[in-house]
Amino acid sequence: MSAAPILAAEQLDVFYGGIQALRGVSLDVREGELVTLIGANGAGKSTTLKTIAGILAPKSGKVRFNGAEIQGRSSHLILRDGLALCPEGRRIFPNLTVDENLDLGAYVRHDAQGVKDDVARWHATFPILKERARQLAGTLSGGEQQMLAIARALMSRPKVLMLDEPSLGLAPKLVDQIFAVLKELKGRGVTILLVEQNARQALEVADRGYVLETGRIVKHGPASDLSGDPAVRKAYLGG
Amino acid sequence: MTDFANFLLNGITLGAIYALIAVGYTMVYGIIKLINFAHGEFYMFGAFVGYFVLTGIFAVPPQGGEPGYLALLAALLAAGVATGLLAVLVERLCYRPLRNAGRIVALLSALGVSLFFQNMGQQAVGADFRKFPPTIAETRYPRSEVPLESLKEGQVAERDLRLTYYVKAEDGRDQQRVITIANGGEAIDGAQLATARDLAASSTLPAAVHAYPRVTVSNRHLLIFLALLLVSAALYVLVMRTRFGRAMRAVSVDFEAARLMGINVDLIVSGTFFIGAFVAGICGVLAGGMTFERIDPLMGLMPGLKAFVAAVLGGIGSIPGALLGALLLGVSEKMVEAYVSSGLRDALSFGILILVLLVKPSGLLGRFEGEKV
Ligand SMILES: Nc1ncnc2c1ncn2[C@@H]1O[C@H](COP(=O)(O)OP(=O)(O)O)[C@@H](O)[C@H]1O
Ligand SMILES: [Mg+2]
Repeated sequence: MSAAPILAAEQLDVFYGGIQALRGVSLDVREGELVTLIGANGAGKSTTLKTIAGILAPKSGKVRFNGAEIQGRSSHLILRDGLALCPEGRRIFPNLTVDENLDLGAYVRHDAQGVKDDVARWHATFPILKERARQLAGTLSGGEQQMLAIARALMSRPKVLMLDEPSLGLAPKLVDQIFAVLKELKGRGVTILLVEQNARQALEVADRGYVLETGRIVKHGPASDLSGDPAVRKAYLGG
Repeated sequence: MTDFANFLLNGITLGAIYALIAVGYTMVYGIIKLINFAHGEFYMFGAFVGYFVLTGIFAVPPQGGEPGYLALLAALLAAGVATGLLAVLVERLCYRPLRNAGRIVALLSALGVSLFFQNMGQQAVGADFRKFPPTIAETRYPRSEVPLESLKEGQVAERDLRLTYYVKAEDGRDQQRVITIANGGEAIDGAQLATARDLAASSTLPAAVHAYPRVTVSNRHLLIFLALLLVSAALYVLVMRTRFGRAMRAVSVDFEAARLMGINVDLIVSGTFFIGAFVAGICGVLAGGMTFERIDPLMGLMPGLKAFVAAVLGGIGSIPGALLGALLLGVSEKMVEAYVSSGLRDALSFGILILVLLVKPSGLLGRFEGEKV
């Protein structure tokens, strides 16, 4: 735990027009960690991930990734640096086939054989994607699309994967499946920053957590501490 | 029947011309949802680049210069590349800065660009028509050779008989000429046959008599068909089978998600403008130049609008739709011109536009979801 974090946000202030959505948000993620950012709807979780991924530019503050400052860099370059975002709402390409979506996930890679192997690997992890490989992604169910979105984000072999509410809108059984996948990814050593409204399950799989309230980080610490924290329990874990 | 076949053939040719322009319209719309009204000016620009390459570099006199296929290829390449680069520049300067300003603003900018090129064109090269060099000698197909010696005065010609012969042009080149000896069904006239023998004897390259059926197609039109075939096949492979094409399709539905894949969206948009304008520029030479034979700075206006109608008819954003819409429009126009009234031709096109917008805005093959609010 003494190593420098691979990803760190420092004092981010982000605005939508005149409205401030983030106020001095700082967080960090170390290699191999699964860190979760929890908070109510509208707290600024997506804004945080979008800012780190370069979709939004912070008014002030810094984002450090792998030793370099990346705030203000275009999002397609940040992906090339090795930081992937699996966005809220899945955002798969409905007019492309499942396999074409996976191939696009590997857009920045040029090792054709490695890409092929990875497609096979995600086919094995999510058999439904193999079954539907040549089907348009828009025809998949919500849960299947989420599997595709996660696999697609991993196709670039990112150093860090950020996930924005991967369980949103899914049936409980599928939610369990998504969290099982996250656990498995963690087991494989993938570094993850996970945004969730489903705080209970997020804190179960995470090493550490941050709590975001109306644009501010109000608490952070080991996941088990947060799960035991009375205020967190009351606000996010249903008592 | 022969008339109908000829009208149909002309309609398909016109449709192919519209198609070559419409693909650019539809590709650009597909990717940035902009109706690029300056696209007709790209067609015009291409025609002028071709003109200056032929008259300048190949020193072809506009009247009757036929330097052949190599010069044509050079003119086409120059027109395609120059027009493509112009389109990249236009996108960079006039559309990209407005990308978040809303569609109406971008549309107004496109109208401005269109008028700018029309007016700047008139300033730069004058408003008058220029004759475009024929560039390649015209040949009509199908045809079969008939020995001149076998023709006799008074004999009834089964098909149209024409002599192709050559004279030395002013610049020392062999210039192709064609005269009719007899039309199909007519008796061969003695004086005409004698003239043909004299011309054949003095021809600077071997002369030949050919018999032609009633329905023939010119090699210039075949070139347009060939271009359309190559363009369609190339676009299919590009869009469906390449990394660039996959990226294009991704960008067309979701800029932000495309960026999250590491796609340089600006580059894909530039590439799309380049490709669409490359094709329009080539079409300017093949159609505006070699088929219509006259070029001027306003020549892009009508074909541009018609191609737009074709793209809407087929479903704007869809490449197969643009091809289908263009062919349908070309054939309909020629049929109305032939059987109803040539004055109604343009009215028909714009009537179709209004009808499609009212009845099925998504067009024949499109997936247009209406304006998002
Ligand atoms: N594009 C936007 N324009 C204006 N305000 C926005 C926009 N996106 C989000 N917001 C506002 O910013 C705040 C944080 O939003 P968001 O980051 O999406 O929250 P969360 O992901 O935690 O639900 C909310 O108040 C939301 O209304
Ligand atoms: Mg959110």
